[in-house]
Amino acid sequence: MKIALDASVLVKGLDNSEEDHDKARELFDSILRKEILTTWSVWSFLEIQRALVKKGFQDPDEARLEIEELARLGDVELIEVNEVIRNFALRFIKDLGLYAADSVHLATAVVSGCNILISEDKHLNKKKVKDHASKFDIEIIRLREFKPGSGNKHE
Amino acid sequence: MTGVYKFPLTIRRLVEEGYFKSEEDALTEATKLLLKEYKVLELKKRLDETARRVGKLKGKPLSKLIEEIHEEEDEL
Repeated sequence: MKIALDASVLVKGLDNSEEDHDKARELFDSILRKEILTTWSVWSFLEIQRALVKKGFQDPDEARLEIEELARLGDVELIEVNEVIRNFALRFIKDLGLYAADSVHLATAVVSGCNILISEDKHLNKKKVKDHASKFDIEIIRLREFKPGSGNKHE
Repeated sequence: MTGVYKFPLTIRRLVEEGYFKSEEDALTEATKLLLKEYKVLELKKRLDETARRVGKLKGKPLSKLIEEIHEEEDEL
């Protein structure tokens, strides 16, 4: 099972007032123990930085670097926005009306052969987006729906 | 004291059984694992501290801000 994560999930581990913060930290632990293989778009780091700045956090670099270290120590597959991903993302923007960043995350999941995309973003959790993703054999779920080891369709 | 370090029997056995090329190799791998474990523990502590500090800030949760950042495209 290969799992794509987007920035909306990663930031939940950086804020203990977030709903499902504990679940995000459990996910981080699974990544660090290499129990699950995850794929992230490098675009996530820019979104995380932007969200931290928008929140008014004084050390956005420090927090972002912690997420980058999580990726390094957990052997996360980091995917650049290359030409193939760009082309898929362009299609998703046109066909599904997705925002650029959401389309990049979905395209990353498709191109890297993920079975699950975990996202807390309401745009990616729309029915028509989920239905479209299922054509690529990708299930889009929220963090609280993710059950490592059981439960998910692709287990 | 001869000054020559004698590796514990377990390590020598692991080498004999082919898990490592040499006793030094086994020790190097063990040290690497310990270092990695230390880095993981340190990262978890730093994440805890960051989450505590971010959690004290007012305003919308970071995950909602991510959605808003995407919607900024509409304002362009």
